[in-house]
Amino acid sequence: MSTSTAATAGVLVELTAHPMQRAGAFALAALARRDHPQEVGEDEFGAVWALMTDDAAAATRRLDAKQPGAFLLAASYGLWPNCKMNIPSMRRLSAEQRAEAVEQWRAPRDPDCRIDAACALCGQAACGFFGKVDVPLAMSVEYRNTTVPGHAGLALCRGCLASFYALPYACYFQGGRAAILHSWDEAFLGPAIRGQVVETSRRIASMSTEKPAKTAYAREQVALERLRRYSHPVTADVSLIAFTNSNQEQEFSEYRISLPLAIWLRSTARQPERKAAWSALERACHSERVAGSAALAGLLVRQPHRIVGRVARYISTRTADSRGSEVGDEITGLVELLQSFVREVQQVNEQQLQEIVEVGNRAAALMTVTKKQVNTLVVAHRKPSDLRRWLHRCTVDWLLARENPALTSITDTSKPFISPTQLRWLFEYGDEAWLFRDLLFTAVLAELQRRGHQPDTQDQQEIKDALDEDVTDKEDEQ
Amino acid sequence: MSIPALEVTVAAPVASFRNPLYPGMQVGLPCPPPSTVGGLLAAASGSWARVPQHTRFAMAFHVEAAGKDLETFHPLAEVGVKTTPVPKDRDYLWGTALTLWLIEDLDLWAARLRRPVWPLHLGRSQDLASVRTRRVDLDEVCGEQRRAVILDHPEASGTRLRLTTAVREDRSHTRWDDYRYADPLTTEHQSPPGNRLPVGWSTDTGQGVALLPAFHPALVEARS
Repeated sequence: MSTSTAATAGVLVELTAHPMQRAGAFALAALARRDHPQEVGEDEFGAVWALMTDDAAAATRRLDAKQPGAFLLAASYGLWPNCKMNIPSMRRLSAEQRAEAVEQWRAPRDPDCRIDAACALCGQAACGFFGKVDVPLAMSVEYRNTTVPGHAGLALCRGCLASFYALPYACYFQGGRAAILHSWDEAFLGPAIRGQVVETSRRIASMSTEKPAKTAYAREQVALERLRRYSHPVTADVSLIAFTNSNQEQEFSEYRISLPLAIWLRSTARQPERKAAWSALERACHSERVAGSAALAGLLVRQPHRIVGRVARYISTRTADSRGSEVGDEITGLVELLQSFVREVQQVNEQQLQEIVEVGNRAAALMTVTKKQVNTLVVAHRKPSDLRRWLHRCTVDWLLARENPALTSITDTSKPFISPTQLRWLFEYGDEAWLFRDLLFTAVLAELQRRGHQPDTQDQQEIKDALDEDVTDKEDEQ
Repeated sequence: MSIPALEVTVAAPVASFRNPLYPGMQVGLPCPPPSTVGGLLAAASGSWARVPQHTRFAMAFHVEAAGKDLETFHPLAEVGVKTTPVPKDRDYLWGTALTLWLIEDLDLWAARLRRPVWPLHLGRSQDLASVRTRRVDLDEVCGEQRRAVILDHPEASGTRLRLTTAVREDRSHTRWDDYRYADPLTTEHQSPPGNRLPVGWSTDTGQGVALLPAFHPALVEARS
C-alpha cells in the first residue's frame, strides 16, 4: 500500500507512516466519538481541538504538576518541553495569563490557512512548520542540524498537527515516560487507543491527588491485556513504544510483539487448556521482587526468548517442592503451553520439537524403571558437557535395559535412545541448542510427572540444594 | 526458463539507517529503505537525471549483529550562538551485505557500479561500502523469502515496516510503502524454510527475487 500522497483528498485527518501521528489520530477520532480518523468531519474536528485546548489551559492554571487537575501539565514536560504550558517564566504570570498563553499556542488553524509546502507526513497542504514544541522527538528550533538555523522544521497540515496534540490522550504515562501501543493493523489500533483515551480522559478529569500505585512492567501489562482481550484476529505486529521528549533526556524505545507472538497471546485467553496453564506461567515468572503477572508481561514484551529457561527452572522447583496430582497437572499443562510457544512463536521446526520430546519421554521411562534420581538431571542440565555425559550414561542404560519387561511395557525400545542428529541439535546448534536442551529438560520432567514418578525425600533435598546453589552463583556474579 | 540479471553485492563493515520520522534521535532501521538504495544507484550515476525512471530492483539484506554506540552530536544553532556538543546513542548494524538484482539496462549499471561517479555509502558518509557485480541467470520460479526485503503480502514473514520508497528531489513529498523483512537478529521473525514469495524469480541458491516499486524521485506524486 502506498501511503504518502494517497488519493484520499478531502479527508481532514489521515493516517500516515508516523506511529505517533497514527496513535494521536485514533485518539482524536475517539474524542470525536468516531471509529476511524477519516470519519472526523470539520465540526467534530473543531470541537475536539477546542476540548484539547481547554484541557491544556485548565492544567496550566495550576502552578504545580502535582496539584489536582494538573495531569496534562505533568504530561507536557515529557511531550511538549518549552511550550507555553511549562516554561519557567510562565510562573510569574497569573493563572488567567498562563491559560491565555496556552490558548494562543493552540489557536485553531483556519481551513484556508496554507503555506507554500505540503504536509511532510500526509502530503496535504500544510498550515505551518513545527518543531520539538509541537512534535515529539522532532528537532528543536534552536538546535538543529537538518535544516537552516531558525527554521521551525516539519511542515504539517491541520489534521496531522491535531493528531500530535491528541497524542497524550493515547499515552499511558509512567515514570516520566509516555507509552503508546502501535500496530499497522488499524482494526486493532482503533479499539486499543480508544481504551487508553477513556483511561487518560478519566485521569485528566480527576481532581484526586492520589497517584496510581507503582507496579513493575505496568505498561507491558497494559499492552498484554489489550492484546489478549481484543476480540478479533490481529494481522500485524504490535509495538509498545516508550518515549519522552524531555529536554534532559530524549528517549525512544520500541518493543515489538511479533505477529506470531500476538496470535499466541490471544490464544492463551481463548483456548481453555492454554487459559488454564496461563496462571501457571505467571507463577513460573514470579519472584520476591516482581509479581508473576508483571514479570511475565515484562519477559513476553522485552525478552520472549527467555521464557523457556524461566519455565525450566520453575518446573525443577515444583518437582522438588511437593507431590500429588495437582503438581503433575500443573507441570503437564505448563509444558504443553511452553511447547505451543516454541512451536508457534519461536517457530521451532515441528519435527525437531517432536524428536526432542520423544528423547525426553524415553529418558523419563528409563529413569522410572531404573529409579534414577531426578537430581542427576537437574544438576546435569546446568552445564552442556554434564548433560552430554548424562545422556551418554542413559544411552548405555537404555542398551542394558532394552529387554527389561518393565521398560518394554511402557515404551518402544526398538528405537535408539538418542540419534547423532538429535545430539547435534542439543549441543551444536549455537543459541538454539540452549532452547533444545531446555525443551528436553522440561519434556523429561513433564513425562516423569505423567508417569507418577516422584523424587524421594533425599532426591528432593538435593534438587533444592542444586537450585539454591544456582541462585548463590548468580548473586556472586552480580 | 531464465532471465539475465545483474547481481550487485554492496558490503560494509558498519552501517546505520536512520528512521527519518524521529530527526531529534538516532533511531535505526533494521534494513535500508528502498529510497536509500535508490540514492546509492543515483550516486553511482552522478545525478538523478542520469537514472532511468523505469529502473527497479529486488533486494536482500544480511546483517551479522546490531549495536548501539555513542556519537558526539554537534548541534548547529543561530549564528553567534555557542552550542555544546552532546553524546547521543546511535543504533548501528555490523557485518552488512546488501544484494540487489537489476533486470534492465544491465550493461549501463555494470559500468556505473564499476566506476561510480560519487563514493558509495551504506547509511553514514564515513562508512564506505564495497561493490561487486556479476551477471546471473534468474530462474522463472518463485524463490524463498529468506532475507529479502519485499512488498508486504499476507503470507510474508518478518516485521512489517513502512519504509520510504522515493523522496522528491526537493524533499517536498515522500512515497511510503509497506514492506516485510525477516530480521535475522530477531529469532521470532525468522523466515521459515520453504516460505516462498508469491511472485518473482529465484537465484541458483533458491533465494527469491521480487522487484520493488520504482524509486525515481520524479515518480512521486504530489497532492494537489
